[in-house]
Amino acid sequence: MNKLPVTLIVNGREYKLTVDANERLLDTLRLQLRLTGTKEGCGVGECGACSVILDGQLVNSCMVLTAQCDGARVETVEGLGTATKLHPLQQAFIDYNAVQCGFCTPGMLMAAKALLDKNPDPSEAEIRQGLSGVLCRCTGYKQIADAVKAAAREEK
Amino acid sequence: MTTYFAPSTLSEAVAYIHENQTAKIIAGGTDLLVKRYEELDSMTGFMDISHLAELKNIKTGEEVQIGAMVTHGEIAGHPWLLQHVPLLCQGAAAVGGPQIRNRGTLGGNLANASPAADLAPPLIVLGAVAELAGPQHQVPLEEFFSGPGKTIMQPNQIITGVKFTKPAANQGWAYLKLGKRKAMAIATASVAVLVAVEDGQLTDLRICLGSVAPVPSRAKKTEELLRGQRLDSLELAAAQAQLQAEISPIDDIRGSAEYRRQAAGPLFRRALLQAIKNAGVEPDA
Ligand SMILES: Cc1cc2nc3c(=O)[nH]c(=O)nc-3n(C[C@H](O)[C@H](O)[C@H](O)COP(=O)(O)OP(=O)(O)OC[C@H]3O[C@@H](n4cnc5c(N)ncnc54)[C@H](O)[C@@H]3O)c2cc1C
Ligand code: FES
Ligand code: FES
Repeated sequence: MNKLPVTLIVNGREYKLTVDANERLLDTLRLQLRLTGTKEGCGVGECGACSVILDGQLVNSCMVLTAQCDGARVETVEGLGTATKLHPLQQAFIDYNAVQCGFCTPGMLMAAKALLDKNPDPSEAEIRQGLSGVLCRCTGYKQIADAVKAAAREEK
Repeated sequence: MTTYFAPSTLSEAVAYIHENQTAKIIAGGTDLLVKRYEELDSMTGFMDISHLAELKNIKTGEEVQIGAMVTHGEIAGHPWLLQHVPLLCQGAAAVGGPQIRNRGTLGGNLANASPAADLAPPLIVLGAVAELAGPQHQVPLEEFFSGPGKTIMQPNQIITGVKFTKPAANQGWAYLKLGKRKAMAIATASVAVLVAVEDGQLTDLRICLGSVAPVPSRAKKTEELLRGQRLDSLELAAAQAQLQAEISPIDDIRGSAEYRRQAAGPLFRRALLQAIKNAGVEPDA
């Protein structure tokens, strides 16, 4: 097997890994690093459950080969907050009932974080745009958009 | 055993793909990893061009040049392009959602050769030329596509970028895309229109449609019919009928051929009127 050395900085911590050429970033995160917060929904870019922030950009981790990411910084939902100190977005998702089954939540949170990192005071339309690459099958999008708006106010 | 190679220069890339023609070029991966999802384990190899700095430039000016590795997100948000070539930004902004626009590239969009590729109609009406390396070749984008998923590229060629002339001040533009929802929808039909207006006359125009023929296609007979007409007496109904006669849509999961033919007419009419309205009007910087 053609194993490749790859260095990833995930949530601020450096990992030296060996990966297969066809290994997706999603698989490296979930199977090698056991960071299972990032979910696989569709595997083909449609659902956004696998969204992470790669070098500051929101991406679907099922659409990226880990080999393409040597030296890159990756932010996953595990890096947002801790059980005792939630990120304002996480708290807002709870406060606004923006979670039902929770499968889309990591992707929604990362999409929202990527949006607020670039645009701390987004309009309703910009929030919808920012979240448009993540599908939710149960909550409905209103609570989620409201939570993001509230978190933006909170962070100001 | 799948191999992976990331060249650091274009000449290295050209040499590698010449020697390893079974390796697949990967840019943003947003088409490749979908198509190859089932075969990820059996792929021979990847040549990753996503780190090739040479392919990431946007050159502005009278002649505009955009590298193959420029992403949809970069095009959609580029301040100079937004001011001078908003038509192309509109096309890029219509692609997928933020995740797809952050990874998906111009080169991948063209090489993948989907009849629905959102950059193709805007670039074709802009008169863009595709630039290929190894062997080097320049080809009008209009002649680049040869069928759904097919191009005139040889297996050892790489798209390095596109170039086109900056639209003149009297030109107006529109890109309209019909899809099932606003985000993440592949076009059921799309249309780009570029017009030139002088003294109340439509002196020139180009129309290109996506998703209504095997490749993104100019509606040349419709262009001919409208060229030279006065704005106050445009034969819109005749033009719409000509356009509907000129396209060759198919049935697929996104819509039937009949629906596409019906929808393409008014979509085109709206795009034409919008383009005329935009002509000569300097968009806000
Ligand atoms: C959920 C989802 C939604 C999408 N929505 C849209 C949409 O609305 N509109 C749209 O147009 N597209 C859409 N796409 C398709 C895709 O994102 C775009 O076509 C994108 O531009 C492809 O670029 P890429 O860099 O990701 O290509 P890749 O997947 O890396 O490559 C695609 C193909 O092109 C070849 N290739 C790539 N670069 C080059 C090059 N420089 N020279 C030669 N060959 C090359 C590859 O070998 C491969 O065969 C969508 C995809 C997904 C998954
Ligand atoms: S699992 Fe990546 S987008 Fe659905
Ligand atoms: S909460 Fe179930 S998919 Fe969104």
